[in-house]
Amino acid sequence: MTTDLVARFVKRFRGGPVVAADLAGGGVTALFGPSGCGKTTTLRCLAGLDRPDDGEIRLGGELWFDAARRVCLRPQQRGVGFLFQDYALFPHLTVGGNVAFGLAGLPRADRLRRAADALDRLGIGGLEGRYPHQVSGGQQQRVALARVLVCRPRLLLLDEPLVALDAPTRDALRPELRRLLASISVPVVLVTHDRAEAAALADQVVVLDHGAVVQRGTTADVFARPAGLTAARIVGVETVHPGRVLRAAEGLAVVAVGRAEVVAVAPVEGPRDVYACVRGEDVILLAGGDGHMVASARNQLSAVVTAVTPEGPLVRVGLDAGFLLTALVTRPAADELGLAVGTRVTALVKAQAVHLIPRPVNDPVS
Amino acid sequence: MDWAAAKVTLWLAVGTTGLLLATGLPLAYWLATTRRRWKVVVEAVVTLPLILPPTVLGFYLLLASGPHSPLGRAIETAAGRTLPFTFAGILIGSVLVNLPFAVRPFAAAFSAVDRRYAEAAWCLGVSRLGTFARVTLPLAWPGIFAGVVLTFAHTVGEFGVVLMVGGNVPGVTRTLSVAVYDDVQALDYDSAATTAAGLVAFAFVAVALTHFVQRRGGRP
Repeated sequence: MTTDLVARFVKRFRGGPVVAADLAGGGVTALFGPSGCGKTTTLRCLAGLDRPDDGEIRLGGELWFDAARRVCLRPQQRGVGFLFQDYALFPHLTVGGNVAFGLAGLPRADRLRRAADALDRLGIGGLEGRYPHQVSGGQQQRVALARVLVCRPRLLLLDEPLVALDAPTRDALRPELRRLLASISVPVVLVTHDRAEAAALADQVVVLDHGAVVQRGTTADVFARPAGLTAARIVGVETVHPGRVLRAAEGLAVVAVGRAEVVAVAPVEGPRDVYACVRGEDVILLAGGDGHMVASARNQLSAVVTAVTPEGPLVRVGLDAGFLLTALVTRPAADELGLAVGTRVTALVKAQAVHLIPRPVNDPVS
Repeated sequence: MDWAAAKVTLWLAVGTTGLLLATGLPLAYWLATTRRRWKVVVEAVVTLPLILPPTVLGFYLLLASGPHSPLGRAIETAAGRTLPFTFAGILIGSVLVNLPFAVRPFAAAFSAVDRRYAEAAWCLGVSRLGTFARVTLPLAWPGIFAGVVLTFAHTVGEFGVVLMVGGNVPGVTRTLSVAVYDDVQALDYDSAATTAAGLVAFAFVAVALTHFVQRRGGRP
């Protein structure tokens, strides 16, 4: 049984940006966007910590906020679970005291028992007597989750739930958090600017930019097919290049991009201006630059490496393939191909991996 | 040592500190959390006694509570006597003079507590008052303790306002600091030296205690 969250509101800041949120549905929703785009403000309005200027918020059949009817429930009346970015564990209370904090109206023994149960369920039983500064970052995150979940919230709000952790802990906790979010039957809204986090945790993604919703949809859809240039930039599509559809037939479009022609799977008809988007992980590199072989990938582009930038376990490869194309390959692959500036390679891109965004006629081409 | 004066001093310090805890904590919490712009006016009024000579404050208090002012007559009708030259009189004067010594450290302590702790407690369903008692107050405690010690110690050493409002009535308004002044006037340097040394020792212990608590930072 899940209740749906419906939130459509506007929050104005004096001399600052306007945040217009528009959320609906259950499941796990990720608010995705660069810092300062209004993600956290949206969460705070949902929790009742900030008051929107206009609009309404309801959960299930219950009205939480209505600007027209001057209804604004206090945080205490909403029953939200708010996980703060750095967890905000009470430093003067033990882990057990923190988790039992919201359990009012129960005898002390019951409260502590329920706190201990919650810690057990999150795999950190036995830490009750420690203070927050005596446990690790990953444990603090789970203590904060336990403190929120033990109160049985009706809406769970997570503000960058993994950002305060180091990379290995983050990678370890991500699947665990996914399982937890899938197992609870309340709507979850989480804020993140990390693509991997949104992809791993959320069912649907709402892309925000400068306080406005740019795109919404299922996680896979939003990341593979951004609706516009802004969304493509925010979700981090590596290659976005203006082009023009030359001809289209049977669902395949041939697009002139720079000096090259690429084939895309796209339901367009006739010539029109577009942006061609290719994600870096969808580009396969082959040694040698002849660009002629028999392969299923429709786009076989001979290219020259223009830049090689290591990024953690991956290498970002800039290519001149008649237009600027970016590929993400693993380090061993880059070593094996001997990638360096000037190396000639063939870039393979499946037609399905080329996503076309309509481009307004008078849009300046950079 | 004038033990009657020591007793008056002790009761004055206890009373002043108690009254300032009761009134200063809510006032400081309001100052630390409000976003109203006219709070600067309140802040200025609270700070004023730090700069004004205590004699000036005592002078106005004397005028306001004397038999010639409406306020003074009201008090006289209600309590059967006027405030000057009574213990209640020096207590009120002392509370006013010590306002900044209590409210400023209290407000600084509340401001230093990250607002998100209170917000986290609200989201866990705990009322504003409950959050204040269970989160904000314990976290602000080292700063509040510093304010309490400072107020107590400063009241023990208060001179100007006590002399202006209370005069020098033994066993009623004669405090240790007034006794030192009185002894020196009477050329009784031995008695003055004993009392003065006692006040120095007390002040030193009080200041050392505040620093010790501040450095521990209220860690459990």
